[in-house]
Amino acid sequence: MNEHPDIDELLVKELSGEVKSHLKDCDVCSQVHADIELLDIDLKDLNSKVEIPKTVDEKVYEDISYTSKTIRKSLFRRNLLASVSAIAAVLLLSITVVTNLKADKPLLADINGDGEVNVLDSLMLAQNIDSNTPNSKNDLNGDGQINSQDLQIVRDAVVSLDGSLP
Amino acid sequence: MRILALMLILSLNLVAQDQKDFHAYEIIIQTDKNTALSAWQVEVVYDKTKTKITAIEGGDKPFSNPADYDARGLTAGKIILASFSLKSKDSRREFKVAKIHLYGPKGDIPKIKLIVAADVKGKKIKAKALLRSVKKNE
Repeated sequence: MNEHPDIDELLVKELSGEVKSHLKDCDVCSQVHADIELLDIDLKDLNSKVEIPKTVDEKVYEDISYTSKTIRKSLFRRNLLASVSAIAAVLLLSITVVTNLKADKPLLADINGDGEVNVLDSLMLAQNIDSNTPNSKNDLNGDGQINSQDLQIVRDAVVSLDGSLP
Repeated sequence: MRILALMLILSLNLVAQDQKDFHAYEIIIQTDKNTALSAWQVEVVYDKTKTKITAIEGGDKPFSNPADYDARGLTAGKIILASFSLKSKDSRREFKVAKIHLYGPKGDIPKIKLIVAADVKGKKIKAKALLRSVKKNE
């Protein structure tokens, strides 16, 4: 072998015959191989001598435990937040549906717009009709006129036991 | 002997209280200051198993017309009465707004709750509602 072997060929434990014969003739390669062997010995020596102190072990374990706990807490919070948000969304939806169901017809009779149907609505509509200042929104029977018939609808709604329009 | 007589009177009184009869109550609205009451609404609750409402009558002016009510309320144990007037002028503190006639035990007194009362501008006013028993010849 006239050419120098690759470094990979020198790093293997068992050298090939060609490489061995080359090393006999080539001082440079022989020196490189000797250095590699020395380095290998040093590393083995180092591995056998190094001992990790117990305190370092414990510290590393504590760090890992802390990180793990933090991650678990974070995940728990995220899941909790997601659950609470889902429950709140369902409740909000239910309230909206119930409110809309309750608030359909009877609130047509809420003439003064205070959110309640009571005798004050009858009074206001009667005053509007009496003073000839009706509001087109108060045409409850949809006949194009605002008169005593609309007023009667409000009066009936005010005293209705189930809160519905007749 | 006297004790026996007293017991007899008491028991007769209890029986009389439990006996069904026609009786009536005036509905009174009392305001906390002189006001021209122009609208009122009350809720009357009674024991529907013992009592029923036989009639609703008007009160004094300006509420001499019978109040509005849901006919189901005559026997349902609860009735809402409401009335308004555009002719309300007289300011005072007490208004007899309706009379309610019942058939049932006299001892079964209905309960009344004011829902709302208002002045001529339609503004809510402080007031209370009460039932005043009416004697038969009134």
